[in-house]
Amino acid sequence: MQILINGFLQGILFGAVGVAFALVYRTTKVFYIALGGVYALAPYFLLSALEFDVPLVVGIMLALALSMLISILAEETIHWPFERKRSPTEVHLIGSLGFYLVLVQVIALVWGNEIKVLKPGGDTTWELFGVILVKAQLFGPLLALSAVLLLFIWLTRANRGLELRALADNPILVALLGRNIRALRRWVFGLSGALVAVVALGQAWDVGFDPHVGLNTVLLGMVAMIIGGSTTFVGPLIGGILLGILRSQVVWYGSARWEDAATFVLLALFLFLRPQGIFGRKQRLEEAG
Amino acid sequence: MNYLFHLLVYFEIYAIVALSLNLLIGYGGLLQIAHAAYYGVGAYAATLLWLNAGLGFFPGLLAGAATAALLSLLVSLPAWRFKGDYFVMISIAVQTLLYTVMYNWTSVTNGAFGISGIPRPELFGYNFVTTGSVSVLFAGIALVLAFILAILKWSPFGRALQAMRDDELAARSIGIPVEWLKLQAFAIASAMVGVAGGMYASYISYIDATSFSLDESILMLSMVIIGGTGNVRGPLVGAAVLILLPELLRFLALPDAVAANVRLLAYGLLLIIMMHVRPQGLAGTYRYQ
Amino acid sequence: MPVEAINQSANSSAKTTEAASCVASLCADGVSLAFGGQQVLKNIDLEVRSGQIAHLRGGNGSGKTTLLNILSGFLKPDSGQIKLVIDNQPIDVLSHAPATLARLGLARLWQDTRLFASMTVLENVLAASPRPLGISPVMSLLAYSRVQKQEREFKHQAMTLLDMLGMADRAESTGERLSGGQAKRVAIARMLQTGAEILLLDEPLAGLDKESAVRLVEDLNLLADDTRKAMLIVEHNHDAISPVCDISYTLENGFLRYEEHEGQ
Repeated sequence: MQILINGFLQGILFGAVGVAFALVYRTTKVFYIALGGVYALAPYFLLSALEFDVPLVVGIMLALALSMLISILAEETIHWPFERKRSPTEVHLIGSLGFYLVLVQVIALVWGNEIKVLKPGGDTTWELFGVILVKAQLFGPLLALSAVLLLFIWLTRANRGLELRALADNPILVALLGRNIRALRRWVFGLSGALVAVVALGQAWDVGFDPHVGLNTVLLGMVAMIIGGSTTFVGPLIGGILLGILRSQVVWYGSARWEDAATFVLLALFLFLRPQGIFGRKQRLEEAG
Repeated sequence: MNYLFHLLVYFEIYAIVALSLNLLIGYGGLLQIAHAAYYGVGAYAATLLWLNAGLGFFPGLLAGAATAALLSLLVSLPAWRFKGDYFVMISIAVQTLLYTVMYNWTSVTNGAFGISGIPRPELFGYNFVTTGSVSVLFAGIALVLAFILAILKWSPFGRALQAMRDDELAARSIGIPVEWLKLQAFAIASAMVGVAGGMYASYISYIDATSFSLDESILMLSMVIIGGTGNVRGPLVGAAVLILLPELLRFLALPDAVAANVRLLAYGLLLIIMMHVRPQGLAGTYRYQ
Repeated sequence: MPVEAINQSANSSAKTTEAASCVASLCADGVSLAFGGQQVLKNIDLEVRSGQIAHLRGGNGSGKTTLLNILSGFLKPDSGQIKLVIDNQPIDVLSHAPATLARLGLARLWQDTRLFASMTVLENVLAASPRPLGISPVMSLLAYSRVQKQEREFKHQAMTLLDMLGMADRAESTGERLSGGQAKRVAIARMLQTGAEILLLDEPLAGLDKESAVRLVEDLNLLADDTRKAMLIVEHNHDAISPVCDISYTLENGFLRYEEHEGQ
């Protein structure tokens, strides 16, 4: 039970990152690896803010806003120019990889390579029906989950959310209807960055952070997206939770060393047996595909 | 003088890495990210055979190449079905899987501690002890492999690969067996990078898994993309840039830890700039379209 | 099916003298396909034989290209059989990959030509050479001179084809710099280089000016008569193509209607 809960909580984090990744991937077709850089960067903003004796809440807000800006920077300097040139996906991907390298190395140069922590000292634990939970461990996933829910509500309710979904399905139509694609894309990148920042802050508070945590987390998010299916936004969340549970089982019955291997075996299984994911609609097989 | 020979040896090893990766990226349009893993497979297989089975230098290298070629099925079979983003995912997954095995299969690879005491090359009773002699031997190997790749580029095999890269559907419609082609291209490229791995192990005389990580793969990819794809000159320029950049940074007298970060930062920036101004790389001919 | 019966009689009456030499054919039997809930093809029967030119007509979106995709093995129908006969050997189309079918002798021309953009005109055609030895990397290295000899033969054949289609002087230019009509002719040369017996052509005349269209139709007719190729041609320019067609099929509302041509 303990393992299941732990896996579930971990899974929410993967799922949230998966949703952030899918938000960009679904709407712009950009394979946004640099999201790993944004993830890595977010806790450092908070760290520096706290060093300047800024109140925690303000620090968090600041970190989220800056993460959003960095993510929008990726769109402005890389993906939007490439999109205008109608560059193929490979060019976007390589550009994103470049941006990731830049972000991570800047972090390492400014803040150093070593592992850092945010919280001082120990933590309160709760016991609930025999399951021991650490406050920070619960705090992060809950925060991430509420951020994802906010995003979902925003996606379905607000006008802009509807436009976003249309951008995913038919960008040319959106442009023809006179909607501003550019602003929409900025929102997509910004929100994606903010969402991973929420997850990153929660994780940083729980287990600490270093410049290199981002790529692996985003890879897990991608796996969550593929397992859950990239045609819906709920899919990646469920995919992430499944992934979290699987990984915790592997740790329990095998060894933590084989977590990643198990993850990618699961990915391979899904790609071969159900490439559209659990919740994916089966897309019409275009002959040019 | 010895220092120059040392650089030359590195250049020869990386030239093979870049040229073999170019066979996949530049000729085949297959964005392989698991190249460092196959580099590692070659290094480990050759090392284990040298140390435990008493194999000679060349038989060990060839066995390493064969192992890498065999394991290339892990990427080439999925490449039958997946292209673009999804193939990149698969390739990252394979990289992670092989790395996990190299890192965690302690009874064979000695895990994080690595394997030391790997013998320098030896041929007909002559020991290549000095760096200068190694650089001559490696130059010979690199030239032979480059020659093979040059013949292949101008052969019907190379033409068919190029056709597949330009338009896979059209290639199939004129009878080009694309699955078989991908299988062979991955096997050849992996075997060659496996040879490079064996050369590296024998020169450094020590290997551990961290030399074959995802970061290293990204570096190899950057090398080819920055240098340029689609011809022989491009990857060589890329390999030279990879070798010379740290040396240039040395003149700036940066501390070692910082220099490593600055180097990667430069790579990231170069990737982005390249994609903006010269998608075909410094000296390449092929650009994604 | 009556269609087949008619077809056979058509063949025996129009081509009696050469009936015995009919060694290649493509035959669809009861092919149906639904796309997104809509029945695109309904129980289609069709046959083309050596030396025949068949015209496939139909309005925009009537499923002509889809039918070609099925016939060339790129798309699997929901039901039905497709049989290819080459050198009197029957081959089941649905159980083979498109590349295998192309090597066996079933080639197609794409509506949008699909030339290899980074390669020259000559390389485009050469890429379609049938069963090159050097497609195996091992052979390229170990049997270098044999591969080179074969390459020279392929090159000669490719230049002959390009010459026939009036593109020999553009052999060294890359695909990007060609006009629509030129690209089309290169694509036809590429298709012919495979040596296929059965050719499926998707709008070969689209984008060609009147003069080149007339010339191309003559060339196609010559190919059918001299080399006994079988052709199924999708073409909107009825006036240009119908004089050389032996039979025609019209696709309408998912049904295929057969018609025999007079005067050939």
